[in-house]
Amino acid sequence: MATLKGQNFRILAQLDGTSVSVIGMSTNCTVTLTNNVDESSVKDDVGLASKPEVVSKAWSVQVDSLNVVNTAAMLTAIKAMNKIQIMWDEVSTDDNQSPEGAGYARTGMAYISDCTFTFNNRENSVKSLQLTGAGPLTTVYAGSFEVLDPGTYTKGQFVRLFLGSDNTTTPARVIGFSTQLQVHVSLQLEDASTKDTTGDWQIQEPTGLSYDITTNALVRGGDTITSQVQAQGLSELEAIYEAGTPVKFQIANVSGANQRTKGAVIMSGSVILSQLTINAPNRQNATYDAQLNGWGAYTVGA
Amino acid sequence: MGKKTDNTQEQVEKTAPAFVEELLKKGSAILRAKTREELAEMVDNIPAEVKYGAGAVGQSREDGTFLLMVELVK
Repeated sequence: MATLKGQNFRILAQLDGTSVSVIGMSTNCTVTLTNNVDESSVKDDVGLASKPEVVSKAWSVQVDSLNVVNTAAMLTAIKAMNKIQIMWDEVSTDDNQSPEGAGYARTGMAYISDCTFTFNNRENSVKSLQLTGAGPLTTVYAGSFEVLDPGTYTKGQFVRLFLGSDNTTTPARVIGFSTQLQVHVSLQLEDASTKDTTGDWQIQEPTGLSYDITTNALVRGGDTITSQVQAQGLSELEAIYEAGTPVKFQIANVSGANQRTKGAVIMSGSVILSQLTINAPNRQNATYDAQLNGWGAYTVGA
Repeated sequence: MGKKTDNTQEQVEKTAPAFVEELLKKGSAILRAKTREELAEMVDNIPAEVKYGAGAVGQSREDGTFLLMVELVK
């Protein structure tokens, strides 16, 4: 019997609220089943050996995908903090989308606990989802399955961060000469199981939602980026750092010359610049990294 | 709240292209165009009173067309 290849093991999710379908265009997935243990060896035991006892069970799934077309839906879903049906199974057919009902297939309810979008220059954009189980796993999924159409790819240079200089004006300028952009949304969960809870499964409940944005850009000589290309440069970022107050941002699709014309807005809100790092290695391009932490709730769209 | 949404929909349906009608009816729509600029024009045609969220523009590996998924924001 041949070894199963990674493409024949897929994560399926009920992201649209009706039927379960594979997470499209995925490139990697990891399922982690955890038995949390507590040491049970006591002074009465002979020898030095430990005797861990299982005290609770948890599970999580991590999936990477090249599909960022549904970014808005993902941002809405994690913000909604709803549990969704998750399943993993062996898959078949030409597009590896049809579940087989393998003996190791499992299904359960989970929260989207972590969502990261990476839009890097001259790279395919990537979506990484972390799903944290919120209850037991079972072997039987009773709903319907949906087969997806083949998707599309997004080059990272066509999604850009527009950053304002204050917390009132809609930002009109991109980060100039940027190379990398990552958006990370995190739903904090806590185990809410109590002595009243039946079984060993942890019962996760949401306790907080936070997000951060990181970007990298080249440092251009002089202090003329703003006037020359109407973009935010290092000097503006330093001014934002010194002010230490929230500024408006938008992440949007771009088109036109130099990819600076704002198109459909993916998300918007306010951020605090929490860290600015200037990197100047010998015989290499000088760059800076900016870490921006979400201030208040983000808006899906403009 | 519901009445306000209905009024907005009535206003939009008089002038909106098909994808806006689909967006209002189904809650989401997929816009397709041959160029990014055409896609941007389609987005510009969405009336300001329609609050929507957009995904990242994708490009088909098969035929090079551009695609944008938009959904109503509640």
